[in-house]
Amino acid sequence: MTPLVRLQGVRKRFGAVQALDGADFEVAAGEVHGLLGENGAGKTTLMNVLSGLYRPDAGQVEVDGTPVVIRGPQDAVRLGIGMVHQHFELVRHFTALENVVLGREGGFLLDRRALRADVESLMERVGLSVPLDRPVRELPVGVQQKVEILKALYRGARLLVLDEPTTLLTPQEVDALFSTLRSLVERGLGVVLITHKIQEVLRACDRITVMRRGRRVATVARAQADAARLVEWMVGGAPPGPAAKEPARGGAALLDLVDVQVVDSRGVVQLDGCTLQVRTGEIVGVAGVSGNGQTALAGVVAGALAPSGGEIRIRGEPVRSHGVGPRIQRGVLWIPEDRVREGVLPRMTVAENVVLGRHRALFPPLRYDPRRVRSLGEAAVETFRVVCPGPDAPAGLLSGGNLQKLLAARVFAHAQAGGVHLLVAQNPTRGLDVPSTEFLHAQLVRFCQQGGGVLLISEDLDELQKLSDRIVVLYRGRVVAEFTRAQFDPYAIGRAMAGVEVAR
Amino acid sequence: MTARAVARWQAAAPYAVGLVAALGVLAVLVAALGGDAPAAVGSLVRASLGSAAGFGQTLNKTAPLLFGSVAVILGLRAGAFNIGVDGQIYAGAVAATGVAFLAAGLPKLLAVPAVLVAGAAGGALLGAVPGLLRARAGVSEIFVTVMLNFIALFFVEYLSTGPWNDPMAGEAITRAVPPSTTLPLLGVRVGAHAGVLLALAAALAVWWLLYRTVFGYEVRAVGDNPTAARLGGIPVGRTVALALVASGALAGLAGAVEVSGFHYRLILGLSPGYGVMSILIAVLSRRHPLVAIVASLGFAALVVGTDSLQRSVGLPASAVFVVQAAVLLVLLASEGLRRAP
Repeated sequence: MTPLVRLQGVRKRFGAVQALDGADFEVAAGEVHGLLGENGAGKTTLMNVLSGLYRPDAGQVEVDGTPVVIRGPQDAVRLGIGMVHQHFELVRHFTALENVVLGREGGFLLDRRALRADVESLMERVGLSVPLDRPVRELPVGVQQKVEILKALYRGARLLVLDEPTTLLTPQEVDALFSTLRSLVERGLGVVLITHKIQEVLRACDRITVMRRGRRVATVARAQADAARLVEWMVGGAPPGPAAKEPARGGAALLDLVDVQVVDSRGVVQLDGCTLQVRTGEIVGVAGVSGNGQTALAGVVAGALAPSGGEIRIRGEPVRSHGVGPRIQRGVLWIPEDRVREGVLPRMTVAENVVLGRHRALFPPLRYDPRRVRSLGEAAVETFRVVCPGPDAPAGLLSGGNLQKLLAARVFAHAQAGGVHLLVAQNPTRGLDVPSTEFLHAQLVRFCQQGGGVLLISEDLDELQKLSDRIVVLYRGRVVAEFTRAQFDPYAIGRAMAGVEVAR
Repeated sequence: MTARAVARWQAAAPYAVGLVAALGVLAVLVAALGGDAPAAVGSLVRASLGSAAGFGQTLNKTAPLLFGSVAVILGLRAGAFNIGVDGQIYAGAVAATGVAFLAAGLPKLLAVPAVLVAGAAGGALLGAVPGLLRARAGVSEIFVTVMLNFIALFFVEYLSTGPWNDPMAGEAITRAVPPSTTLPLLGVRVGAHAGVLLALAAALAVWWLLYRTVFGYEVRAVGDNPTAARLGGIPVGRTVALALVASGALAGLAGAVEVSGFHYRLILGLSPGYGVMSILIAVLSRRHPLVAIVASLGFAALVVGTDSLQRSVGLPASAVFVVQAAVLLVLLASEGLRRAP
């Protein structure tokens, strides 16, 4: 049988990052095909190539067995490829009907009745129903998603690509979505479900392709797949290489979390009784499939989030006041994950970015010294090899990888100046090239050798195994397993990450 | 010339082009409205910059515009849009007038500073309301400042027609403040009062605050990316609130200077749209307090010069406003051209 769409050897590079490194993928009509992988594995990039948003550097795309060149989204639509993005692209003040027919109204005057009949018959055919006359903003998220799906179908999509469609949905809406997808493939469509959630692909998909680092690792039928195996493919099953650091020798406790709870603003429990310890000289790795409480863990340790229960101790002393400022004073620094949003002051200079967090310690209130800022910035940029026009350039001009290096430079320059005991690093090397990654790893190790401790939260199991003295596994907001270096085993860690009970 | 200096001149070039284009538009409009175009351009220049008295008028107009624009700049730098400059001017003017009445017996050396401090305090108080509401409750400062504009304006209407009304005038103006509380003149022939020097000092102070103090660094960081600032340990809410208080104080000083330097009393039309003009100047100056000095001066010259067309070329008052607005639009468009790639 000819697959509906086949992608072969697709390569795409963004700056220093090889997002797609010869990726293959195929999907047939009549199947829901799960595309599984960690953030940054290349799933979305691959589908963006298919939907015409990116031009690939190399590789071939076939639709119905015929090679095609997709020059833009219009070409993709003509070929019957419809994409539903993670964040919907709906006009919020328009009705569902207006959104579905948007750009396909035909002619200058809206023939509302004819369009309506069209859409109604479409809804009938595919078994999807939405209230057509309500403004989209008044509809629940799950229904908005149906509007997006109808929009794609109205444009003649035969292949529907959904990017992380369940992120914003309630469990009931997820059930409804999956039964919708099922009925669509029964009518002969193909569906690609992009996700990093293993339970979802096992529930909803006929076949599963796992991607890692821009390549396909495996494609399996649902019947042959099991959770532990999928995790192993996602995170990389390589046995641990040589350790990058001397083992820690059981120093004093730097950080203690005892039964810490975090509930976010929507009332969702992010950390559900998390207990862990970091001692001096130690790197504690936190493994987990993303979305299991990693961001809340980083936030609560760095002071950006207040815990709703449990106790946090820093160097043995219980923490009472939360907030990043007080935490910096106690020597806890954070390398955030979302560098552009959470880390960079884009219109301020590179040097001004370097001193953020340290500025209060550096200067008396009325003696801010731009020359000193500049020289500190210059030194940090030099030491940490940030490529930029100079310390006076606006930080917003830097490329993504260099922004990440700039944030690392900020933290390590601060650490070198003294008074810093604990670093919280969340995916600190995502988007970095190999030499920069090595360099940053060496900095983390050096910080520990000087008596600091690191909480390393990463989705890269190789990185965790290389650097950590211990690895704890976070699953649904709890630490469900802990491995010392002698026990490192990607298969066992993977099983814990998938939530499979670990015999201990 | 260094590369940086060259870049600065290049950045200034569109304004020069804009100014020439604006004069061209002015000439065309005046001719279309039945006036004598060359005479109008001559009169404009003479009335604003080319004569001692005209230059004095321009300086007097510069003072409130410069106070107002650096007030807006300080807010913008913290990421807060202070649309309440008019209200804060009125609040400052009310406080200054009230203290001036109370300070009747004091020597000038004490009375004038007291009046100025009162003006700053009045404006700061009005700035504190949106500041606190935003820091504590996340209320947009835009709503609050706009609403406070109405409150301040109608409070002035009440004072100027009610308790402080000058019964001899028959308009919405208060009694004159005591002579011991008024700002000195820079020179009798020029007719400019010392307010412009205070405004200049304020602009320099805002520059110093933004670029030479830790608070200023934090203001700029918060305005640039509040999330990153928060994760850098900066108390974002408090920083924005303090910036709005300081912004209000600057605008309040404009009110105090208008009362004690120009009108010598509180009048209902004290601010002929200074707030809106201040926003324009702040944006034209690209949020830089030193650039705002030049921009305020230029803006004041334009306003004074076009005002004179009523007398010199005989344009009706409404036509003058048309010309003023059109010239401004051309200037703003040139700013837009500079930004386009």
